[in-house]
Amino acid sequence: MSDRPIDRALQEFLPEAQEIIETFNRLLLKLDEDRVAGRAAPGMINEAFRSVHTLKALAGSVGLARMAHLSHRIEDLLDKCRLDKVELTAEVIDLLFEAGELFQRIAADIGQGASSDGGSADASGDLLARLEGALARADSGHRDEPAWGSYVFDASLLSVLTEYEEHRLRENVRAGRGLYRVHAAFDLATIDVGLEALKERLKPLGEVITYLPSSESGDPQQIELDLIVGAPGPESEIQAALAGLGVVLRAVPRAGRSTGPQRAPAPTPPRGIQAAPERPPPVATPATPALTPIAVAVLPDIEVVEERVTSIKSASQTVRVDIRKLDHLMNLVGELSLARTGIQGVLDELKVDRERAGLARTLHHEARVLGRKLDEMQAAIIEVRMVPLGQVFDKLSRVVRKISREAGKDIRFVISGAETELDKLLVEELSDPLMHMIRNCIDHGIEPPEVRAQAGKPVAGTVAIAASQRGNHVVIEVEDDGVGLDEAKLVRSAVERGYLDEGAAGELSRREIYNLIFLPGVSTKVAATELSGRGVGMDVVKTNLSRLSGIIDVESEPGLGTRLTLTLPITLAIIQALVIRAAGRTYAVPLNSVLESLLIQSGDVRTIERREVVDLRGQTLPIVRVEDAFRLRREGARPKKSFVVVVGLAQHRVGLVIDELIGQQDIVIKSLGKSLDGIPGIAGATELGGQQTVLVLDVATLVEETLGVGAGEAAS
Amino acid sequence: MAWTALVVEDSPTMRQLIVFALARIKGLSVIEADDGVDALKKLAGTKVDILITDINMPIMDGLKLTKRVRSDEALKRIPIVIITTEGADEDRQRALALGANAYITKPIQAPQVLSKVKELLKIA
Repeated sequence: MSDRPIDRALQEFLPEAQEIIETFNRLLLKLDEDRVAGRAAPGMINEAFRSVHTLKALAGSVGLARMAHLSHRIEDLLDKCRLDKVELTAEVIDLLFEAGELFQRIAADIGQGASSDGGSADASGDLLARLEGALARADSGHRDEPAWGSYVFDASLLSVLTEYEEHRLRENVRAGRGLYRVHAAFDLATIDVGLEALKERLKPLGEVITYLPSSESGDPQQIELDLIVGAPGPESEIQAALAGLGVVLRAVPRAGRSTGPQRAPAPTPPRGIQAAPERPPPVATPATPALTPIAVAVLPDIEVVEERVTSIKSASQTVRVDIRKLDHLMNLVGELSLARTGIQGVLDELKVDRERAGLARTLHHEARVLGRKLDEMQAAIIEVRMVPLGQVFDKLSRVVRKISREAGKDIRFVISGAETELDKLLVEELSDPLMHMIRNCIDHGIEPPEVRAQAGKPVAGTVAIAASQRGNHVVIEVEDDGVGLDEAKLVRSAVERGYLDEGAAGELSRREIYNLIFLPGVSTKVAATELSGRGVGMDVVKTNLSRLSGIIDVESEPGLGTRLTLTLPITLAIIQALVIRAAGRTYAVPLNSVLESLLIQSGDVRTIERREVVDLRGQTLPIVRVEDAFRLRREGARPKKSFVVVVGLAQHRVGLVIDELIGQQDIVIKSLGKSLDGIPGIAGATELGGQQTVLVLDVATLVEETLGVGAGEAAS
Repeated sequence: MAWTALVVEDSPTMRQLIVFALARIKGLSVIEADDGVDALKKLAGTKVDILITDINMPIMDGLKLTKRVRSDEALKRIPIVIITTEGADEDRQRALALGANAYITKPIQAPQVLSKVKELLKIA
């Protein structure tokens, strides 16, 4: 079945479509930014056009009729924008953004197994109706293409231009820019690099309107291109920028002297590029008179890196891989690690045998090499799974734009560390929590403009998101310069919900008060006066993050703002675990939730309100005995000395009391299977080598059960 | 007989659809390129019997590629099939004026691809 072209195409479709939709959305953001800043970016509109053009064809090919139709009309709209028949207004951008979101939703539905795009029928019907309106308005406001002015174009040049390129050429003439031909010859093997270098040099100076191939040299090992460039600056500036590249610059000849915008009727283009009778006086570039025969030069500073044989290779050096295949590879590596542990066991036995000491040494050496390579392999697979957080941040920019409009607040969204990488799965799972956090910042953190002005703050509020890697963790900070958390309201809300009584409330530290925000239903909102149902509570954010082994902390300064800090492991595929023993059994505790371990004497344990606690640097740490959590029967008395493993879940800390710390080990968590799945406190099982299977503790549940958080039992 | 087709298209999915359609022609092998410049590279290294190209591609589009092929002594007899989309009439006209022999429209339909290619390669 999967050999049918259409099935293969469907498999290919989704990742490519998602990539295109992401590009499309990114371009829209940039377009909107440029529009607001008053910079026109014709090339970017064209890129957006091209991306949706491809999407249309893709959707049509796999039978997604709605997506195809919608992208078709979006393409029409963008076509009109790039041809300047429609102005790119805020309303047009909004329509495009909506389409981008709808595309994303359809792609997500398909990704989750929907076989058609029918689920978005209403939304796409509604959007289409408004699109038709915009397109109809556009048709009435058609404006004429500007004429060629005094430029003398070769008919054969005009014939190879696409409609868009011809339009850009005319627009450049209209704007009174100078038009130039940059002739360059590239070696076949290095044209990609060479062309890129040339484009980079030209970009700041003007617009590359088109790339025309020429066949003047006849050398089969070279590709010659004429780049037609429109530039506002003097020719000397372009000449200087291209110095050293071995390219030839010529001004496109003109019939008159005028350099201003020309509205004269287009002259019949003469054949070939000829010197017009009255050429403008030569500009200060004696090195390249405009009409010398074209000297062909290979770009000099580019090394030939590949042999010709490679010319039938695909230019693309990337493959798309289903993440499940990587999971499988990761599992295999995990199993290989177990096999290595097994070898270590055999080795330990061999070492005891004196007669085989030599063999043991050799095996020891080989086992170490194997171990190192396995570590490298694991690291390499993890690296493949990594994607930059920028993917989520881009989506967030769109959300910020939308929410700030809805809320009538002007928001400056500052992103840093977008290049920080995280496991693909985590990145996906993070989008929603981050979105809620940012929504909260804008809705509840940032004050209305007039309030900010009164407080002497800049009218535009700032929401900043910053990511950085720290060892095996990624830290993401979401910060606003708003009003800060209202301690009094938080406490009142927590008391009303029954989490606290008035007396206990008075004893809370500031940090403990801020952390109340993570309890279900607790909020700084005054329920009656504010919109409800729009935001999602921070408790949901916290729960989602703890599923990802993430920890969240909050800091706030009244009047200055609030900062939320997320700490996440960079991957969940293979985890490091602390192997422990309690009441004669062995367990693994995921190391990413372990903060520290301490040795305690039985006398260190106090009881407060029927709960066992120990003092940790002046703070009270609730403890839970692993044997109590699982109702294990202990043979004999409790040891006098025990270990406490301090684990953290989001902002909570709990000490797990155990008998023995055995060591650290990489583990692959496996599900226990249907019958045992969902036992509270157990995340799964893992093999430690030597056929030994142990249970992996689910720290999140243990902490919640101990503290009663999430279940509403924390009220004293 | 053995032929080689060069498929020039920047979308890997669309390219794959065309390649799959072409796989039904016995004796036809297919090479692929992402855009016009890449196509010129491939054309320099391989003898190609038919060129199937998209119009709208980054850097060098199908129009320029057609023009370049038509003005090259060694390549100018290669039949060219243009891939267009509904609505892109202007660019399709330009491609045909530059010497493209035929066009197919997206979404790609295998029978349409096959009939044009067979016709141009004179395969019964």
